[in-house]
Amino acid sequence: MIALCALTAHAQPKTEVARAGTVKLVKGMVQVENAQGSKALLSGDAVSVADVVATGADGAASLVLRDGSTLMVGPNSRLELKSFAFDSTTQDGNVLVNLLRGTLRMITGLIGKNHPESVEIHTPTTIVGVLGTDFIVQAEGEVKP
Amino acid sequence: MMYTPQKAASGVVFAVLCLTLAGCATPPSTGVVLLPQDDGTPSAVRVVSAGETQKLAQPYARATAVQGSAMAADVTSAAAVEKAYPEVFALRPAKPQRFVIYFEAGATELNPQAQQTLREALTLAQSRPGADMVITGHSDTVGESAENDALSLHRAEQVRELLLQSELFKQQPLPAERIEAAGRGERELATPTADNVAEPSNRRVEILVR
Repeated sequence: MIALCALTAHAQPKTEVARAGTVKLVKGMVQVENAQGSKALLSGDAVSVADVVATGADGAASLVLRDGSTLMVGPNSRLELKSFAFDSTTQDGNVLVNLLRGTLRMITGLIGKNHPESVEIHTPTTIVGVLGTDFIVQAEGEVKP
Repeated sequence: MMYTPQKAASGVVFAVLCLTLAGCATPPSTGVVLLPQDDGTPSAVRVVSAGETQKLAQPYARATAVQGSAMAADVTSAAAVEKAYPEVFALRPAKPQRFVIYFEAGATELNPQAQQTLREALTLAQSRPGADMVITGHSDTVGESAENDALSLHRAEQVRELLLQSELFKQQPLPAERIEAAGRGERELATPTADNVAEPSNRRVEILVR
């Protein structure tokens, strides 16, 4: 840990990616894919914006984002954390998850409570939004031909 | 500045079932099911597909969107959903647990009661796979709200530091990057008061273990 800190102190600019959430339970084959490549996702790992969580036929995983949003990903799924921001003082922020394939169960957290319009789940054919006041409906989906 | 205290409520729960078969003639489809909240309070989601909108406001209400067809609406059941998608129920993480430490005015050390609470929180965190902790400071309404944001964050950082330095933590450490400090200032008063009221029960640090 100390050696790692010493190394990163010299690295300009800082390339550390912010933790958006933490992996809780993992079952079977679960990978995370991002610009650094692909590796097995383990309990306790950080999940960051632009990470794709991919589960195999026997795979499933749960993760909790910093605002308490809880995501449970089923087998044969691909889920991208497209956007996430959370200010822990004001509890403002946004969550945008892209479910490319498979199953997701979501329990919304503080962002969903304070700014329901800032939580969206996109799939190739639909946009799921949490209802609250001033909900903004987006007309364009991500429908693939 | 003063804010009204917020009621705790569990989040909106729903499942999204997205079936896309690449390289297949079957058009992509998405199903969305609204699940009941733990505390039974009402919730709703909106499903938008190809310009059509459906609102799901009752537990187990389901919208199914198949590309090229009109969106369908029906109601499924707890048994059917849990049978079809057992993993997303089995892998639900343990519910977050909250601990509270009270601060004496100007104190820089934790009293024995606070140390005991900290030990309990840490023991729980160490029993949970992938545990993380959020240490949130709160202030009373004395002073400017911006100062109280800074003060409450400072208190949370102090508690985090004391936790990291504790013997128990050294014996069974948790990765430090999974322990976050936050300051909520005077936004969540435990005891509602007017502005500029010194209230010891509002000067506290909450530890959320999840």
